[in-house]
Amino acid sequence: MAAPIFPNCSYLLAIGTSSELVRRLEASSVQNQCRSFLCRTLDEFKGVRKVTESIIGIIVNYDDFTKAEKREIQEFLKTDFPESKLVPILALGILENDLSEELPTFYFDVKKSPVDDQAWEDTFDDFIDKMTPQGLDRMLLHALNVVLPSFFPGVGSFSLGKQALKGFDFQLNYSLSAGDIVGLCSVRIKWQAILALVPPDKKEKAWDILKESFNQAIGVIIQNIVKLGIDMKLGLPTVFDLARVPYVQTMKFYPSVHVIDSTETFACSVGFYHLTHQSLFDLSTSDPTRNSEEIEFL
Amino acid sequence: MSEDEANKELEDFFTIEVDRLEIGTEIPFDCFMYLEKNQKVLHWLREGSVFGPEKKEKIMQLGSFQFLVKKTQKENYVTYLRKAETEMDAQGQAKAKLLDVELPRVFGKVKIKLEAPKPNLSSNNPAAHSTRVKVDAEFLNIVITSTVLVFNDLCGVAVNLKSSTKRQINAPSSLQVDVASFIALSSQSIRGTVGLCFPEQTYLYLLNQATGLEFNKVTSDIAMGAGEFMYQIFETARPNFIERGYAVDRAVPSLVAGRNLSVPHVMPDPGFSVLFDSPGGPFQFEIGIKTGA
Repeated sequence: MAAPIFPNCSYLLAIGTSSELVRRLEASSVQNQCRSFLCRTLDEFKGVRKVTESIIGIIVNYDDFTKAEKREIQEFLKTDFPESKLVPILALGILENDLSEELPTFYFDVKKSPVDDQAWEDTFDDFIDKMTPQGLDRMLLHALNVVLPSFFPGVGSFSLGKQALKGFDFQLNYSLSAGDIVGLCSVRIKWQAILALVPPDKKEKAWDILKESFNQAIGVIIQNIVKLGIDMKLGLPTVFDLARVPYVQTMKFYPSVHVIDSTETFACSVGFYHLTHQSLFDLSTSDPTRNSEEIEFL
Repeated sequence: MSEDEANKELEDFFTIEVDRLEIGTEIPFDCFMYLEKNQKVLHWLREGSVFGPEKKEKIMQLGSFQFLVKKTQKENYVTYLRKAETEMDAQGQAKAKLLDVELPRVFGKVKIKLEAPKPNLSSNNPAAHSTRVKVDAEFLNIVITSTVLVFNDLCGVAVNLKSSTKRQINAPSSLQVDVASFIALSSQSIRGTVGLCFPEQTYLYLLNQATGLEFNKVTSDIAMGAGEFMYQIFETARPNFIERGYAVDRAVPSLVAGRNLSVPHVMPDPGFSVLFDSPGGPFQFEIGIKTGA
């Protein structure tokens, strides 16, 4: 039985009927760890849209509809999702040309290129880049590359990548909060590889060392956000054993920056979400510095 | 009227979402409008009157006002919304049948927000200015009241507090937990985690009540409901926390599903366990506190 709509959950929505669309939607939702919902009519879409708080993106398969229906869908999306809403709309198939010119920037018409999975994936990646705070990637890389080696000598250097989900033993979720801005830092780790990085006399305290290392690394990011006048706080980590829980879900979709170290022992994702859909902060001019003792170990 | 008198008067009311009133329906309760600038409560709709299109138009013209119903007429309001919801649902399903599509069901049988009026943050309210630094009985009372309210609103189900006990470090949960959602608890002085934990049978019962659908197994798709329950309880409780001086930050839950989850592993800190009973079985709040105990 299909799952109900959860109003406070983030959704990737699609309009269309073809099995190809269903397959693409499922793949996208697995790849991006988000909920998705397929609407077979515009009326159904309007109903879902009314009750969902946050929409990540929309895929429309225009070839599933008549000319009149295409026009109706295009008109609706144009008025209901203006550029300011920052919702990417992927248009598959042939649009009604006389309406195409007025479409907002986030309307990606892929009729001119082959309609394949790569088109959507690339579009989605571009969009995520636009939704993450500028400079967050640089800040996160700096924080981990500076802080982690002082706790785990020999750890590989961190670099940007896709979200790594498989092969890890534990996940630590750190919640970040500043008014209507909420954030999530997910750290996935391989336990045996971490133990090998800890000196023999400190193995018993490996968990505390792990928590403290990320506490300080996230502290570097928070310190720079606080300098922008945003009073951000870091919550306690919740630790999930991935052997018992296949994956940890979140209600909201956090457009995130993903990094992983060269030995794939640590994977870390950091993202933020504005609960009232306003723009986030900009870290591009911030100077990442080594964290001081100011960050309290919680 | 002084600010204090206005606030005292507001205590007799709860706010309603006026756009949920259906045009052409008889309104079985008195409805009031709160003029914030003048600190006055005006009688806007009389019990038994019909909500006409001109009233709806007037609301659109007036912009955003708080609309209130007396707490003594809460039952009338709930009954009205349940009836409207059922009728709308029946119309929707009939249309869906014609179109040969299955309409999505929305979580929350009756989406009613029985909120208290806006918190009193005036200079005369001492609670608004003193920061509460620890999780205490009043904090737990807000959690309990909000839980009862949300399950009543979402599922139409009465849940009752069974016990509230201290939670020891790494103590195992008294329930078998198969679905759980967790939310960070953070303020200037309090750091902790709150877990809403369900055995599978209880969760399925409450989810079935909230959606009107019948689920027999917890899958990752439907486990999201645990987060939805938690989110709505947290959002209901938070204005009350703030009013009472616990400046709790906003947060979004994470959730997990799996047979016999180990809650102490996720939340090792001491705190409180609050056990509830529902017609579908027990469920529990685990509150782990690192600072502010």
